[in-house]
Amino acid sequence: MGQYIIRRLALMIPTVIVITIVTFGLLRVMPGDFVLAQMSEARGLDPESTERFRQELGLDTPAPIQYVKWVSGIAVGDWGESFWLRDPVLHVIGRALPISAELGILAIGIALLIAVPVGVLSAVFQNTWIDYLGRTVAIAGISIPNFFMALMIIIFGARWFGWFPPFGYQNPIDHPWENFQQFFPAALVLGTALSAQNMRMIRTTMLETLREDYVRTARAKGLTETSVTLRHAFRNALIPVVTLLGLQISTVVGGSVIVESVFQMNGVGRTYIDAVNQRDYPLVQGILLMLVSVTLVANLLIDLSYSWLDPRIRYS
Amino acid sequence: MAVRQEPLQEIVSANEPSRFRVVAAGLWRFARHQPLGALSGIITIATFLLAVGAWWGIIVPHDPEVFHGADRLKGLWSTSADGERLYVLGTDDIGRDMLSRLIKGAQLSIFFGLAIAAVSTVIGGVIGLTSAYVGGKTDLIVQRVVDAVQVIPFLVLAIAIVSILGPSIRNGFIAVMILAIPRPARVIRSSVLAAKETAWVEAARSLGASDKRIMFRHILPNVIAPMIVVSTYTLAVAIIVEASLSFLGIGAQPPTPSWGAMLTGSGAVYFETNPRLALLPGFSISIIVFATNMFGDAVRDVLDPRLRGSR
Repeated sequence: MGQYIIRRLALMIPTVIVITIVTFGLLRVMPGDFVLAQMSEARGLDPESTERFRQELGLDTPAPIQYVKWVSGIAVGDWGESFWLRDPVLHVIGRALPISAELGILAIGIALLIAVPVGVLSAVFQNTWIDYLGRTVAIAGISIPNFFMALMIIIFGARWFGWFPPFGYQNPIDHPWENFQQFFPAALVLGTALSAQNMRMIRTTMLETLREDYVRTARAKGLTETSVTLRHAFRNALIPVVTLLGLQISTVVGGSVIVESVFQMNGVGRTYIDAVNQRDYPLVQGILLMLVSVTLVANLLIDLSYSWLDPRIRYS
Repeated sequence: MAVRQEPLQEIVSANEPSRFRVVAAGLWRFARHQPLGALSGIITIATFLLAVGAWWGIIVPHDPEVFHGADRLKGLWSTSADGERLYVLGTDDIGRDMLSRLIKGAQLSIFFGLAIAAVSTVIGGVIGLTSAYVGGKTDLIVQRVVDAVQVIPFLVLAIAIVSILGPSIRNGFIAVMILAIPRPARVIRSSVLAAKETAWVEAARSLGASDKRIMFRHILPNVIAPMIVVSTYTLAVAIIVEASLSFLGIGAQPPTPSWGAMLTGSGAVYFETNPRLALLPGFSISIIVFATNMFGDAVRDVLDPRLRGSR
């Protein structure tokens, strides 16, 4: 097990290296940089001070040298300093991450709360109206764009319930109710989109496991239908669903970019959009690297959970 | 031998129904088993025809980009101040006809989505087919690159590429196209790997067929089904991503009508008094994406032999 984890971590290194090269290269190949982006706002910056500005930010050295500097900094925990905020990248991410993490966890929780019962019922009552309704609602859930749903919640929340998204981040421990009011609608938007995928996956795998020999055996033993469905079929149907959860982390991150800007939450997604608009290279690179690392580690944890879910799977 | 072959061929051709009837019967069977899927297919095709019509300038009642100061925020089914124009779905905050803007928006969404789906499926398909067929080191390298691109969230990378290249629909197209390639490449690769091991490919190889012939005559027809499914999926995703980019202001630029941009501008500002401005484009996106998804699902159910048995 320990060896397996080490091997998996080692295998991540090439992927991370490819990604650092891709993100770094992408930002440097494209026209315009931070200095030019600032210039367009504060006109009248003479060539001399632009040059000094570039030197100060380390943009005057050739790209490969900048890259090596950046990567060697990461190795010792120095992710560079944001051009725009003049703050270490790790601090900026550290401020935004709790918000996005809470949003993401809440969204995945909501997604599972919807998807598990609907998916199981859909499979048990295959090709009845329950199944058709469940599937249609699920596809509708994927089809409504995040931003439209968020906008509708804001429109009708204000109109019917007098609800307005509270501004400013409220800490969940000191102000649990304000925090909930702030996060629940946003998490609901993200969660419904995820629940649709989960529900379809649960339905398909449940249909497969319900036809397995061990389910027939369980029925033949005279177990109740509930026990057969939940203890024998459902638990074995979980593996593909858990895999999907790993893939969905990137969907959550992508969705949070939109949802955070509609609900005005200062999470990683919104910080990212600002950073891209400002050509704030260190911050954009830092955020992308962080997102990729989180996704990779989460997928490793998910692979490890397989052996707990299905005792037949053993890692060596 | 030659004498026997002649009558045999005649019998076969006499019993073979015309191609048209085979297709029609197939469509009928599809509509009966998948009524919702067939309806969705019709909606998709109708929207496509609408988009083509809008391209030629027919179907669009008024010019979607011309504004009339006297006709600001007219309600449903209202006439213009000079009594000359009928606004079926009303006007927006600067007096542009909503229906025309929605139809022009459909044109953008549909062509964007279809072009992305077609190009990414073809390029991804070729990459997947070759990668799986050649195997070895090529396959390994291609798969690592595909992995790396897929780890980064689609929308996040698209935002970076577009806002750096400069916000425009053309740059949005480039970004989304690059990002859409890995998925078909991966799906088709795995289908090819499965098809490669089948008995008929082995039979073709033992008969001395060339690699090219095996790839295109024996393997390709067997991966058409996953290709169709993955391309309907890409179509739906591309429409949503285009709308999202336009919503964030980095996709289609004003005054070009785009469903996503309609939601963020006047749609968000006037939602208190005129929710119609946001609801119409929002539901348009939802309906067309819903229809493509449903259609793709129905096609998958019909084409996937594993699911066919369980019906």
